[in-house]
Amino acid sequence: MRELDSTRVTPLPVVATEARSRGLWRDALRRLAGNRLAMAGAAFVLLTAAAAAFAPLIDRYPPNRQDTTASFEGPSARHWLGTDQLGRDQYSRLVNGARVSLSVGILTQIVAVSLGLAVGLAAGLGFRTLDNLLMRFTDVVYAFPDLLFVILLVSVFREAVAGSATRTLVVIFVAIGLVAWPNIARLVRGQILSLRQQEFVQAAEALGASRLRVALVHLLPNTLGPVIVTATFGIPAAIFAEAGLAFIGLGLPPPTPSWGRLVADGYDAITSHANLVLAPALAIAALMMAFTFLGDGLRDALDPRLATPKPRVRVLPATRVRVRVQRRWRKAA
Amino acid sequence: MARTMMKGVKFWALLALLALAILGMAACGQGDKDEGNGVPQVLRARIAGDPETLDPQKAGFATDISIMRQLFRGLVYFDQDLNVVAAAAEEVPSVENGGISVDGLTYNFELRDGLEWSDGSPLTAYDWEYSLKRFFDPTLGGNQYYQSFYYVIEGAQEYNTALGTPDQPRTPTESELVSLRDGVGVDAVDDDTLQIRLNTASNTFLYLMSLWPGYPVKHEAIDSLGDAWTEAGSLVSDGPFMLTEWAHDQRLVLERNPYYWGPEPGLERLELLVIPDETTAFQAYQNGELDFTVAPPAELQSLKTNPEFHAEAQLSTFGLLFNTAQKPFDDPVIRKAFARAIDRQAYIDLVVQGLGMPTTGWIPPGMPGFDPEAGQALSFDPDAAHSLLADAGYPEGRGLPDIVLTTVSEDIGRLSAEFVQEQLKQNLGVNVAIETLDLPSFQMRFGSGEFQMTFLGWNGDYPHPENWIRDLFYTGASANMAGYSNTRVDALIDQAAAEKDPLAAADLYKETQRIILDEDGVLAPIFHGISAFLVKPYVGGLVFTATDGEVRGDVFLASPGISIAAH
Amino acid sequence: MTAYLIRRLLWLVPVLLFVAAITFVLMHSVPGGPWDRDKPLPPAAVEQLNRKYGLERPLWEQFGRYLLGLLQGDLGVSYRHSDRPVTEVIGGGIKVSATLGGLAMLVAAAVGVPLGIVAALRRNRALDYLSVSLATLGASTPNFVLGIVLIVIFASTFHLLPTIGWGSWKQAIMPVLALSALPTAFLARITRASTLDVLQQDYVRTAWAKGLSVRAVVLRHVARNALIPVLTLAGPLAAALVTGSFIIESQFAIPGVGRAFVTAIFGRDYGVIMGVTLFYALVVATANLAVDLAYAAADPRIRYR
Repeated sequence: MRELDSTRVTPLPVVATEARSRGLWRDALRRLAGNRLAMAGAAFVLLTAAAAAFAPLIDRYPPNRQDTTASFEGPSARHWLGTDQLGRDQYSRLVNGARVSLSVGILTQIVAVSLGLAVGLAAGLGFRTLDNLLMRFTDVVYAFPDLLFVILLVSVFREAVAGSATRTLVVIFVAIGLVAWPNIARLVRGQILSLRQQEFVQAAEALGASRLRVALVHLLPNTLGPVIVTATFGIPAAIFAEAGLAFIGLGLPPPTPSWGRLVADGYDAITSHANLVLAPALAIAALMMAFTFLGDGLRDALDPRLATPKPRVRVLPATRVRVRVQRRWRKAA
Repeated sequence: MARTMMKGVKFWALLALLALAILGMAACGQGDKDEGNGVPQVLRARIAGDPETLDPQKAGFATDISIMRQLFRGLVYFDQDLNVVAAAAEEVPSVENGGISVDGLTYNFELRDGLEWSDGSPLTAYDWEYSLKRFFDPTLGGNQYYQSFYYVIEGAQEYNTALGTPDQPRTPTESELVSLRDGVGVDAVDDDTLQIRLNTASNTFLYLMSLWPGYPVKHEAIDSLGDAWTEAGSLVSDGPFMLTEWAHDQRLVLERNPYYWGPEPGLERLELLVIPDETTAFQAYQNGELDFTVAPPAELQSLKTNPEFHAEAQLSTFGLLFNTAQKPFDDPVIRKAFARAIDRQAYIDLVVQGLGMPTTGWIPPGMPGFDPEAGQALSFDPDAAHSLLADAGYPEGRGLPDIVLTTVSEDIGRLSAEFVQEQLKQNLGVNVAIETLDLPSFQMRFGSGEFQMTFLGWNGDYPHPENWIRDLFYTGASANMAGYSNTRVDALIDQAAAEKDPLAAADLYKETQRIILDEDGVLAPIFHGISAFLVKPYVGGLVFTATDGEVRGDVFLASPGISIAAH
Repeated sequence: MTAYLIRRLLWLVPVLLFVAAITFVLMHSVPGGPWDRDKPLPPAAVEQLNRKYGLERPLWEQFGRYLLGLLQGDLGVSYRHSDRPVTEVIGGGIKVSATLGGLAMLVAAAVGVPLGIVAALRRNRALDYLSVSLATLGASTPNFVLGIVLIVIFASTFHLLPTIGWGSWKQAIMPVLALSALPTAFLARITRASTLDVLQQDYVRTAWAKGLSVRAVVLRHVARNALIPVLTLAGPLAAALVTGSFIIESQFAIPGVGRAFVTAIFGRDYGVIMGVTLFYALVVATANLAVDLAYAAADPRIRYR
């Protein structure tokens, strides 16, 4: 009989697979490479990242330059995606906006993953009181309405950082990251708790390894898979959140473009100049889909039950040890 | 084997699609209501948010004012040319008819006969006495913004400030408060006569009496219901409409008040729908759910040729305000350099899409004191701007401290800020940062003078230059956030207030404007507003004025001439 | 089990307390106050208003009084709505948001779950790619963009549906659709992943081998197990929907509680901010508890200490 305490069990497979030294990751990579959708997704993500990185080289006008004679022009040879109300070239703003959007996506997840790993790990170490405390703390943060809490957090610090795009960005990263970490913490904790019940862990501890060491060396690497997948899905969610914030007026200070800002700006002109809102919305959609396919692919790739590894167990403290465990489902009647 | 399963799923999917299709068809079956016996005279308009309060002595927001204008009438009101005309009073008091004493300090208002509240009970001068005294009650709460406008009334200021200031609070006893209240110079001589005594003669007092603090409220309602008296069903008013429904955050419905003393409004019913999003309101208008709405600037290019489009000049001015108490704007040369770097015509073209009048003057056309030559020293001239900046000691902007343009995050604030930022960069070579704040944060910073540059948009509360000059530029005036102080201006303002001849007074205001703009460059006016809206062709008779509130045409929505044709 | 249930319910109290405390501190840290409005108030007026509502007292005292009031069911008054009680201001909104969210959840479940199962059954074939892509596309557009596109098409252009308001089923169609796009895609994906998991289990293979029809296999063996993980995530999802998507509510002029929350933040209406946050926290906690209980009911291997 499995026993669960009040923490939610994650829906992702709780399995540790064995591997020869680096074989697991190489296997996963191979599987990922074979997944066409995922590869397409990865390609698009890389494309966007490249566009963001080289934006000043590939844009056609300075993104904030206003052409007072060219308000609301449609797509043309001069302005590939048209111009906005202040005569700014949409294509250039789109390409430069990728920087902010991607950074929001990635940096929020870095915050969330760091916090989530730390808390989840500490909770999973096996000390009851610490676990309880941390999980209750996670419950509290988890109970807050996500976007509403972000709005509250951003509102607190906004006035202090207003005027500076960088500092406002930091506030936004941290705010979104702060609502995203509980999921990861629970995930990590759940994985670690299940794994700790395996023999190899008992063995390692019997050999004198401290709990922390066991956790860091043996268990943490096994949680990375699902964490990476969760983070991959979190990136587009963060970009959405940024768009939402821009929409209600809590985004970056003007005139910095971001895809969310472009959507919010173009929104008012949707009837007569739909191109202004469609271009960034499609860009966000495409990036979302790319990350989704990539995330799906990563999950499939890291799911070892789809592979056929050879079982081998080595029990040495300094080596990463993975043991193959199969979950037994009840037999259907 | 999977195929059987698929068949099952496909079946349900088809069923779902069919259901959706049926729903869709049913949705278009619904035509407009009421064809046949007479077209219902109903007008549907939009408000951006639920009113905060409909209590005339407490309200201050534009939405609240628009609605109260339909529910209440004061002793006097405006006509379409913004002159004061009689409303609940029999006639406008003047020296000729004895309504105003020769020294200008005593006003006697004779009420019409047979005035009634919307619940049928009689409305008397005692109700006005109660309402006006209540306005100055220091424990009233509410907006507390307009009270100081009315301090010209004897005893008003003493009563209103009876609780002292945060630094020097006072705690008057109950009886002291009562006697202060009695000392306010508003008395009902009898049921039909209200007498108001002033501290000094005033040219603008009658204007003030036509505004909402002069609307009467029924004290029995307030005594028994407290703040809840403004809900539908209990709100008692004296104007052309009464409040029959108020679904909070959704809509208000106003219907004709059968007890109104004046001509019956053309409209039977006014529905005010709460629609926070302006784009949605525009779509709702397109879909026939609203009968008129504001034209969104982003759509103006395509709407200008639409027959449903109307534009109306407003008594408003919008400009860039410099905080003279903060570096670097303590130097008038720098202020003027910045002002000259702004291409106002480009602003009109881009930010308001052609709907506005570029200007360098503050007092708008249509107001006494308007001067087409005002502010010439601030007109657009990049070369002059550059040389002014160099004269101030910052050639090409080198050495200037960091400058931040502070504004509210709503659309026009943000767009204007982006425009000005780019103009300053292109025409002056100066980089300013923009901070967009939400309204309370902005008010906090603005109120405490913690800003360098911001925008100031001013709509007249009443059509008199006093409202435009004194309240903003007099040393220490409540709305003087720019820290501006010029004794010559103060002297001129005092002189103009005492001046009996309106033409001479107008000249005095022109002179103050010249000093404020051309000499001191406290603000850089950019444009006078033109309001753009769409009206369905079946709505006739709407009257728009330059002082309309949030709902356009609200000043005369009770006009008998409004009619709704079949549609 | 009962002991577990009681323990969980008891834990609600400190959790809610902390949520309240954190919200209280945060909202008072937002610069500007309820009296910073359209036009600057004279300082005497501000002082007086603060005294009237007890805002000049130290924070801990204000919080204590708030808690006391909470115990008596008094959530304070709304500064922006002429002192109407907070319970009244958000009460109506809660019903509206709950209906909106509930409908969106229903649509998401009715469309997303079968879609996920079908996609899993036809794995890596055209139908799988198509359904996943479709679902993901719907979820990839920010919901307010989806909303305005729906409005422009179905209202302003073809005059089929009303844009604004809430009350008739016609008014509900577009906001529910816009709101359900993301949850549908989410549920479809989770269901697909979890169904794939289950399909590989030995007992399912046994069922195929026994010659059971597809429907029997799916309904009797696969669905129940596949849906467990789905339930896990559906709980918080439903909670999120129920408490109102403020963007959709603002867009479609729906008087819900999400919109009330955002208006309250921008107006520094402290009573409403606290009320909505506490309500949400309660809903999430309850949803989590319900999911855990359902989990236990579905999987008899799980026993709660």
